[in-house]
Amino acid sequence: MSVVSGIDLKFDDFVLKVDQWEIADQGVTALVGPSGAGKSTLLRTLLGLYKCPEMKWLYKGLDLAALPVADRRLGVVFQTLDLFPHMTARANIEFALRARGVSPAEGKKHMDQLVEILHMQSYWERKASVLSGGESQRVALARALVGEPRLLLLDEPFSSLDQDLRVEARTLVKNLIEHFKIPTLLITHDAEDVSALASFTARMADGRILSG
Amino acid sequence: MRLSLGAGFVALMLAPYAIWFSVINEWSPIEPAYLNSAIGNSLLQAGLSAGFSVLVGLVLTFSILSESGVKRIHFFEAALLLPNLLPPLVIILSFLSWSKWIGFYPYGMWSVVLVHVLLNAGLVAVSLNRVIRTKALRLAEVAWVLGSNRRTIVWRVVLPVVKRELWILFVFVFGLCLTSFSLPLLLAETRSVSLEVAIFDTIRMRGNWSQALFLAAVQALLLLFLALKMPRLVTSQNIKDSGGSGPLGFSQLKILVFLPALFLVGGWMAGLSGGKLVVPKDFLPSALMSLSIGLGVGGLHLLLFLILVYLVPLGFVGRFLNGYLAPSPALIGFGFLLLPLSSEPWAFLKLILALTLISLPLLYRWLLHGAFENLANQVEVARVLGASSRQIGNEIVWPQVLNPLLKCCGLAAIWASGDFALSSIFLRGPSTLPLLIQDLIQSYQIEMAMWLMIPLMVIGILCYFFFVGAGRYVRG
Repeated sequence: MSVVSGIDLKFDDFVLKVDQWEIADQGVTALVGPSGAGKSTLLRTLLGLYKCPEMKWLYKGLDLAALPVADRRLGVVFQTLDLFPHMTARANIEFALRARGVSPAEGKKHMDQLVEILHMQSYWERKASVLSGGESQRVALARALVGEPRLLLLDEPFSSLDQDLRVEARTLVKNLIEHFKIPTLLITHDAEDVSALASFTARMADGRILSG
Repeated sequence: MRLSLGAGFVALMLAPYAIWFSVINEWSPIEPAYLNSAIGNSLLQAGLSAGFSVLVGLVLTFSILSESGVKRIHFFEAALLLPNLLPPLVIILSFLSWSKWIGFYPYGMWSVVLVHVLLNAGLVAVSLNRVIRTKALRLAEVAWVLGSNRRTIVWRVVLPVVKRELWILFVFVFGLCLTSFSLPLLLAETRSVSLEVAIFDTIRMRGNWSQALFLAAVQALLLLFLALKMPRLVTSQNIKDSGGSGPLGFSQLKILVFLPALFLVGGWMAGLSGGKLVVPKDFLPSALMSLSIGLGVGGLHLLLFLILVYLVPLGFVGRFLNGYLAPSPALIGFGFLLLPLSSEPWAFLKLILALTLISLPLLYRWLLHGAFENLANQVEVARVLGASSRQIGNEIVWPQVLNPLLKCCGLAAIWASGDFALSSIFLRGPSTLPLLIQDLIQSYQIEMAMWLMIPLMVIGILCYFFFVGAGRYVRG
């Protein structure tokens, strides 16, 4: 388990307060709740994108909250995917490898593995701006995973996909997580995401964790 | 490192104020009647200019809203923005040429207002076109389907929805006109001086720097008030094909789009037809000096914008630039004169820096802020992935802002190569083409001045394509 504590953030009309919360260090922990509950704000706080000096996040004896954003070594896929549109699918993933300082030989091994699992061969050299929703999502997942992050954080990753693609994408993500054995935090408001993927569930409302 | 670089950038922008306040120790209040008159004239001139610019801009907006094809909209926008893309001297000369053709020289506040409207109405129209397409076009279509006529749609749907943006544009143009220096310097009457011209006159005619500082402080307070009152204009960066002229298509107004361009070209043709080119003896060194000023200012813009690229996410620097109105050119010009080192190369370097401090905040707000803002999400993801500021700057920001950034440098270079107001403060004699042209205007040789505008325009175009071409080379 990793333990998050001491989050107390005030915004204009919203307070995020988490005294203590445990995230499983294996499988998928789903954080569910209605829109406006504060799920994405909590995720951004965990990533270090919001400053929260009182926060602690103990993960395998290390306080991740005390580290700068880059050194937390987290993988993230936002709802908007945010691929770098001027780069190809390959360049998006190579960017993450360089950012983590992975050696070219080791990086190539990781990339080949991800291309194989995610079936990205056919659009590997295509610009991100012209990829379909499903293709973009695979590239975003590969980019998040290629640097071997401590945890994978997924913020409503299926909401921009249509119904058929969602089913396929859930299966894909499940296989990936099992293959890489990476602990994952899934933010969602979709019950089907939870039933398909989650090993543990926490509920959130009005800026507080209610259970889990 | 990033914090000190950002603080240094902001300090550089504010340097002219710091120079004045550190060099002048004595505050000498100006005569109340002169001060009141200067403030009154400035507010009236800026208010009338902004009001008419927004009004004419609104009419021009409806002329461009009838277009649906993206390429044609961009062409129309370019036609509307033509006066903004050229040095103010071109507009002044066209105006004087028309005046001479008509046989009536309307020097004074109204001529300044008229030229301000010609300069800014197109800018207002282009901004409003994007705002209406983003915020009001779909609403107008719903109202149209529900059976409303076009008049009702404009008055009851579109205008109420864009009321805030109209106010923002008014305040923006008001700020530009309040610090307008070159136009009032050439066109205003001596008895109705604005704050800007009063600062110039107080130093040049009376030699009283402390009174000029008092006037500059009053103007700075007005600018600060405007900056605090000015929220950001949110418009779509990309125009999409709207698939038809729709309920806002007043196609009979379309010809108005070319009005500013026709005014410029017509004035020029009228001027050229009345005289012939006589090459002045200082032509070549003046032309080379204008070229150097253009390239120098464009280059310094590039350097400062590059700092911004590596500061992304911009944080307080972005907020500062988005709300900052550059101080008056007279304040910057004379402030830099107060610094030591006034010999030839230093005067040139001071001129380059002064011109940059004036145009950079305007160009950032106009063309770059949106481009930087659009990258915010990508930069966040890159940070989470572990990328350094250098990697983010090199691989994410630079490739995606290269085009607008180099266009800004090119535009700054065009404006700088055509500057005469600040050049007259720093340089001795008619040592640039615009200064030669200014001499000709003041001796009523409008036709000769028109002929000299041709090489000046060529220099401006060369400067522009030097920077935009450099972009192609970098991408290649």
